[in-house]
Amino acid sequence: MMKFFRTSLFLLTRNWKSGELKLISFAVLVSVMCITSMVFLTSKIATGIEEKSGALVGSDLKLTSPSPIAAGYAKKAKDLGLKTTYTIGVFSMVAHDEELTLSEVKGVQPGYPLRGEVRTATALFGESEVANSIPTKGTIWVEPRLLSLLGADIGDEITVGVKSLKVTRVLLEEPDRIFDVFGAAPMILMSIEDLKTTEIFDPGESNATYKLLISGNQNKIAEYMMWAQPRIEPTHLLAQPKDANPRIQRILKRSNYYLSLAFIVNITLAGVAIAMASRRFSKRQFSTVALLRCFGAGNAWVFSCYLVMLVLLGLIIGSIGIGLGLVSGYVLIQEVFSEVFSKPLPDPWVWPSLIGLFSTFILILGFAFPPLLATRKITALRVLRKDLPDPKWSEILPFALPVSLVFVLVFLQVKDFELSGTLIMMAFGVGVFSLVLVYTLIGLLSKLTGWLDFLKRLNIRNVVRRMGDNALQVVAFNLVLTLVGVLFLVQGDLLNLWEKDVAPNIPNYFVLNVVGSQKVAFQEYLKENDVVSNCFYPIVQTRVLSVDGEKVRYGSSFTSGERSVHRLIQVSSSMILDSDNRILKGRWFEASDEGKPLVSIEQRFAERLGVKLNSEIELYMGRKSIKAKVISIREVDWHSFKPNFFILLPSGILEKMTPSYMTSFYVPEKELLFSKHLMEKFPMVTLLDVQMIVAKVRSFLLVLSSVVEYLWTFTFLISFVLLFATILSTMDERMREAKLLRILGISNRQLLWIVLSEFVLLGFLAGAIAVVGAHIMSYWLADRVFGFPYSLNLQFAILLPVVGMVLVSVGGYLGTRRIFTTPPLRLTG
Amino acid sequence: MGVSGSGKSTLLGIMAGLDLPSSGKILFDGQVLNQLSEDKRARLRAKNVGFIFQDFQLLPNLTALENVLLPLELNGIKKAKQRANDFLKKVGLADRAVHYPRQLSGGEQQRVAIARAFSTHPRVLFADEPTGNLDQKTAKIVVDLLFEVNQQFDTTLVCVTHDSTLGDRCQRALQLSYGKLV
Repeated sequence: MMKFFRTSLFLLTRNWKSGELKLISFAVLVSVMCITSMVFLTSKIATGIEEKSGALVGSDLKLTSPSPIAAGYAKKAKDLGLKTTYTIGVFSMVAHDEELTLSEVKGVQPGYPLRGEVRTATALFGESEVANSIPTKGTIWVEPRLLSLLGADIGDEITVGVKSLKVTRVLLEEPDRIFDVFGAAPMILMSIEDLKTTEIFDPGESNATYKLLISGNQNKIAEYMMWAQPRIEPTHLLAQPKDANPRIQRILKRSNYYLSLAFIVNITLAGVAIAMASRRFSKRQFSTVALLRCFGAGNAWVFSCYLVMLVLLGLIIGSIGIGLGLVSGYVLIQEVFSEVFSKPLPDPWVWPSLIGLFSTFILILGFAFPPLLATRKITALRVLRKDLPDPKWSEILPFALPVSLVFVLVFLQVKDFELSGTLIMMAFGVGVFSLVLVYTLIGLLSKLTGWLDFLKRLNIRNVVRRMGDNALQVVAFNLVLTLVGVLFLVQGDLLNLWEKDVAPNIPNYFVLNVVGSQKVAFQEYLKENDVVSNCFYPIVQTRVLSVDGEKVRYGSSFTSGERSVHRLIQVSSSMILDSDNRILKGRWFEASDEGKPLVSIEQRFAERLGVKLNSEIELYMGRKSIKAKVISIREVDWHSFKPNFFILLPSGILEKMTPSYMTSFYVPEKELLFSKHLMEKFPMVTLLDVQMIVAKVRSFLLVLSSVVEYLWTFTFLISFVLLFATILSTMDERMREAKLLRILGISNRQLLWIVLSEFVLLGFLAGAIAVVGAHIMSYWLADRVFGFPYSLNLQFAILLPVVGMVLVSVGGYLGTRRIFTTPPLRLTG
Repeated sequence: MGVSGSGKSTLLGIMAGLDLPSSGKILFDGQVLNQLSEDKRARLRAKNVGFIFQDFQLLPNLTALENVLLPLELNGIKKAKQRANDFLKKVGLADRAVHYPRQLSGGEQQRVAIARAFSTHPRVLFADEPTGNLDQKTAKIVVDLLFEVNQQFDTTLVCVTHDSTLGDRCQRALQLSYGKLV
């Protein structure tokens, strides 16, 4: 046993000293460092974002119920060391003087909110400050909108149920709310004790919404969820922050997909890089193995010595890689994200280290080891017979296991079976496809040599003779270009999409209830103040009565919110299809449709109502019912900060029904008094300020965009290692050839031509195949995973083969430049 | 002995158990070599056989001392390092122990190979054209050393060569022509 380890150690130290292990070690080091750092970064960002999204909804977990929540739920949370607090929300009419309006009345307990903050001001349009407590007994905090609607001010009393409560503060921001233009009634915040005395709700009836907010350690939250999930009643809803805000959720989902994609790309490239480096190492060990066999070492023994040598190497290099990965991840976080995540978050040391260690072993055993299988076929006779050909062994089959292990690794980190499985299979498919294609193309090339001059013929024969090696090289180059290409295409689309979300002039105000007689004056007022608004949509409250003659029942496929809110829906008209709407079926309105009873309906709403293209729906609007034909089904981006509607009609119908109007516009944040003046001039309109939401979305996107850009650095680093390892994999043979050609008197220029033209050809082939592969993969990703419209990138299609040629030939020249400068006899292959 | 292509190296490979005959059998110490598995033949070589090659076959990544040490380590011989040093001293290369093959002349490399071959005290030593890559003067030095050490350790030396001077020094010389003993 000792002899065995001594020999492994001996092989390790000697090969290390002679530089034979340099390339594998470097590939492992860079890969493990990148993977560890990436996992560190994403774990930390994920914790940060969880924290931030928690702040958006006021807790880490929320149990919602239409009836009082049993005490056991809070007790269990406390037992786990989690913080809890209750809230009760009731929709109720509230009054001041003669004015009445609907309000969302919310009772909270001290300690609320558990995450995020409540912001208030001491006066209407006063300075926003964080509230450190909740409203004291007998007092309430109310939204500015409510004050406008009731004509009340700070210090006035508002009647809620049987109680009159004094307004002490203006409520500006409150975390536990979902942004919904039509659904939101202005809020009143009070203590839960006061709420109970208003008599606006009866615990026996389900007109109130009870919430138990929970926060604390994420693992404990997960444990709590495991405990609570099977126990909750059907009317209960257990939700995490990520379930709450669809806009943030969509951003998080997409960024998670992107991070997963980058992880898959990096680990695949790393695996191939290490396999290429190991292939060269393995070939260079043939004579050593033959000699060891000649001296009497058994087949399995030699093989095992190499295995242990690689494990030892993996332990040493992997540990350094993990260390460097953690440090670089930590430094990046400190440098870039400390400002965004103001609250210090725990550093995730354990998980990235474990993933780093696991990937080290997969990379070493799965990718570095299979090429060494070839050494099993080396016989001792090789010491006498130099002319024996290299043993034949399967270059693909031994990688079936590592590919599966990569799948496990990716699954551990990404936790998305379909995404990881499909992507890895696609990468594998691209590899096999390019292998077949290259064999075919090189086969065709061999038939073209007849009419070429000697040098070109020699060159093509070189390509043909090294068919196996060349095909592998093209596959490797192709994988780099395809996967980096996919990442590039997806990243471009993602950043474009996000850029729209953080565009400086996206609307931060919504205006509703502009009556027809005030519309022109309102438009002029905006114009005078240089405010550009989106178009003014006429709005009429409508009820869908029947679909194709069948009465509509708002059954269980509708959520309770939809049942109450959408039984009466807001219908509008437009002749222009906005950019955030996309026709899925049918056609958009034409000028000749004006005044005709036609409708365009939103896809999901249509599904729930059972509406199809050409269905006839009966609408009750403006005190009469009309029958209209569905001529299009639309997909709507509900998060575009623009007004959007389930049902749209052509112009000329709603206008006759005295509609109110709504629009959205952007007002620079410094124009603090604009909204105040607007409300003074048009007191009847409803003005919704969504600046805070826009700002939060923006800060999320800034962090995520930086992460996306940082991940590029890792991908580039691994790609270059792979490129270099691939070029070096045929270096020895090129050396031998160059040595002979130079002895025979070939000029450096001619030699350069031979070497470069081969690399140019390989680079071009790899690039051309990658264009197809990258587009197919990114089409799938855009369509199935990210959900953005796919567009063929022509520039990319032209550029990729050129990039392939340039990268491979420059890399090829740098990798082989020794053959031009070293005297022929000193060239050793 | 024989000219190039007469089958000398093939015969040596078969005798040493490095290759298998297409027919017939090879007996080594009463054992039929070609009936043994590859691993059993390897074990037999480890215990009984040493090699010297025309192109020296030193591992370029190992120093002279490490090259000698390699078969000793593989055989699990105790005090291997001391023995390797002793053998390097015997072939007159004590001061070149830490040099790599590329830093040694052809003659020196073959002397390292001789030290390596004898260090395990093999019963039979197969030498394939041991002077094939050396000039006459160096070849003589190497051959003198080979026979001197051989005598000292009482080893059976099977030498393949087309060099008649070397052949003359052997106790028995067999001629091969087109694969047949003549």
